[in-house]
Amino acid sequence: MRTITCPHCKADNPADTLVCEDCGTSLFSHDAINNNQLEPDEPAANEAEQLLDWLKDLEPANERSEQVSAKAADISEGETESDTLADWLAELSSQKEDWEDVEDREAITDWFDGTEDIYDERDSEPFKLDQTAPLSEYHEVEGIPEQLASSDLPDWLKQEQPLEESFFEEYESLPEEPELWTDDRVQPGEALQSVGGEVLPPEFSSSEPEYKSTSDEFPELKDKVPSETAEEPADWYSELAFTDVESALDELLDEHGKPAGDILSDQWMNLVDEIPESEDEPVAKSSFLEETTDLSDSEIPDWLESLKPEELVDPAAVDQPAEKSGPLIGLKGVIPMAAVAADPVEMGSIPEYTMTKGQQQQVALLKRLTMAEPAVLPSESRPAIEDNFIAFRLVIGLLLIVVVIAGWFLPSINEILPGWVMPPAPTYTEAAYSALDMASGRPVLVAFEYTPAIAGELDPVAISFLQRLAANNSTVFTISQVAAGVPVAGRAIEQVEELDSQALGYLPGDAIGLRNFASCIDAVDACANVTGLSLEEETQSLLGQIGLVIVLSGERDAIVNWIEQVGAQVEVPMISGITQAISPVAAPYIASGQLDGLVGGLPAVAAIDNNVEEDDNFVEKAMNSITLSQWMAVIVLIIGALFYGLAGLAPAGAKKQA
Amino acid sequence: MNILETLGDFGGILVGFLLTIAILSFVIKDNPLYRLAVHVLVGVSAGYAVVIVINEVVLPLFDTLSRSTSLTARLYWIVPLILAAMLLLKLIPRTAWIGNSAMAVIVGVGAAVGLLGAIVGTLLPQILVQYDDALLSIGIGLLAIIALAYFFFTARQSEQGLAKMPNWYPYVGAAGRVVITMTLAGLFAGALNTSIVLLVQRVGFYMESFARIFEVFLP
Repeated sequence: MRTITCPHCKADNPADTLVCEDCGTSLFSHDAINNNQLEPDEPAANEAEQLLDWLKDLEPANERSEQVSAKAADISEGETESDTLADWLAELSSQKEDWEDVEDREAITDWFDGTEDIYDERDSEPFKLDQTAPLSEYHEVEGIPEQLASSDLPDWLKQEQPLEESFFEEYESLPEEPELWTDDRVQPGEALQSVGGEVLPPEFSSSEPEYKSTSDEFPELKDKVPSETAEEPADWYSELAFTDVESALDELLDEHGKPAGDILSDQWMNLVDEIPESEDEPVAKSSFLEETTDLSDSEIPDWLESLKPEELVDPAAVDQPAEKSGPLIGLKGVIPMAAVAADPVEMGSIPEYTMTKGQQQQVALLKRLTMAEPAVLPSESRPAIEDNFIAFRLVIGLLLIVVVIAGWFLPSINEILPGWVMPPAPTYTEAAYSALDMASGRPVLVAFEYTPAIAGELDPVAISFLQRLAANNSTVFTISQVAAGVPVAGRAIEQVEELDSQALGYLPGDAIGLRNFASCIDAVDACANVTGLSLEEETQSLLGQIGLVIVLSGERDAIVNWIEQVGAQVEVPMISGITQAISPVAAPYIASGQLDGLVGGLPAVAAIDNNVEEDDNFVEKAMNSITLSQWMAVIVLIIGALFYGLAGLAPAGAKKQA
Repeated sequence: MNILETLGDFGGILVGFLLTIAILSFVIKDNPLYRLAVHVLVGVSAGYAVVIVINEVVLPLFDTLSRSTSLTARLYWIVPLILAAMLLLKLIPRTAWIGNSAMAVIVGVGAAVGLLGAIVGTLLPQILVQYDDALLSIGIGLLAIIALAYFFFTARQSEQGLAKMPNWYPYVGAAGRVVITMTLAGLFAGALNTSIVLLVQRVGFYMESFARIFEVFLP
């Protein structure tokens, strides 16, 4: 009968026992195998083949299963029982369902339960070797489960230092680096049948640890691998290794008439039952766990202590009643609501908000600044309003034309209204005609600074002036800074008989041209030419004797330029004939004496003509029409203002009612 | 007046009348006839201005230069001619920069002349004006100040951070607004009178013209 020597107490045990009968040490250790000197049927002389077999064992499971099935028939009788080690473990793993029925399953060591999970994880995750990570981060080290490795791995395997790159390079250079632990492993049932039928795969023919063979096959790796590899194999591996398994299984089969798996399972459960309670702890703790549990409380930093749950710090908080309502329902240790917030607050009288005058002004200013454009009326009502506006404009326009025509054909207002008296001419208008008379016999410069667009109002003024100058035998020089003023001047000259006139033409340059031209006035022989036009000596002499300057203009800039650039330079009287629109602009120059007279449009001419009792049919008719039109305009404006006011008040009243 | 002259006048009067009707059609709303009349007015005015400038300025200038025998007289006009040529180069984009100098001369001299004329011809005389009526002088000065005070928009920051206008501003500003409104009303009334006069003159002109033509054809 073969015996197994306990590696711990050196006691001899029967070959069919799994643990030492004296000290309880597992006999599936490498030392026990070595002490019994179980010689494999096929000697491990050729370690290179052992290495390859070992590597083949790590091949993908599908290939491995094929190899197992293919080689199962070729298993020789001399193969050792130790070759069935993996299958035996697989058998144990496959029988986990049976173990769940065991009442004392809780007594099973945690590390053994953990192995089930390890196998599940290996089934789902292919192994990938990270050369830079420490060994401890791997779930498997060369197929060794992490929990197992942490328990019995030698110190060199526990080191968290990454291996050198050269080691991995040489490791990768090995032929057919297999993928570890794949799904399709050899089923435990098949393996046991093979064991029962004495059919064992050849890869289990070697009882030597594969890693040892690897180091022997590649001696150059010995330097890379710590020395403990060859000298001290892993304890877990030693425990898992047992001798003469095949013979033991045969004897068990003979004695009990049961399959070897059932017998081993029963023995295993017996062993589990015999484990004392004190040994319920994990077989071995990693050094890291030992160090962690040995940490004293004082070493925990304060910030970590502050994160500790309150119920752990103050157990009394757990005993507090749970919140029964509100969003915090179910929570314990809720801080009660503050009394200030919970108590009802008496609502006092809100102080009335007062706005100062400054604030009101600021609001008004902001409103004015932010006042948007008037809102566009809805498109539906716009056409109707536009149609009304068009109708109003058309009616007013036609009414105005009718009034003008009626005034043209109606008799004079003096005849219609006997008490009606034409308003007398202003004093500055009479002063203008007085200035004309004072310039009698002397040359007069007349500037036609208007276009045909306003000729209807200024032509009567110009003709009136020219008639008076013709009557006074004054020589007239016409000039214009407006291109269209040249023909206007010519037409006006044509309408006055017996008028001695000379056209100086167009004077460009606005203020600059006028300032240059001013040097030609009131200075004998001072100006040889005007704007490139050579003047004759007689003309030059007459310009030097200018007795009056008349400016006829419908634009403010023109009259101001003549006053500023010419009137301020020469001591020559200046009068102006302008439209009614710019009469208020020229009035200050009358007050300052820069203008000696002013005739404001056709009404002023009519007043002068009335005073001089000259019969001018056109002026009389025009004044009739102008008077009626002005009355009509006043009436229309009043009606429009009333209509606008009433239309604006109606919506406001409606809004107030709303 | 013979018939041909009357027909010629009638053609011109008829064209003018149609253009006047086209302008008055704006009373209804903006329309192509109104735009046509406006474009004709602008185009004819610009074309006529060009003709006037060439006929009244350019041609006399070259006539003067051709007839001038003295070098001094010719040199007197060379500088304006060069400046005018530089201004013409502004029509070409690549040579427009050449005309900038001439334009600078025109703008600079024009501003200087205008400023000087405004000071001498308007500001000083208006400041030194002496009215016969002392009350009128005071009234004019007071109204001018009130009108200017309306444009006083400067405010001080109060302790509360609000913009605080002077206490006198609400009253003086309101008075200034009244003065300005009356001034604008006077200008508007003058513009309205001018417009009425122009309308009356136009209507009277066409009535007399048509009456004269009818007298010729329907004696």
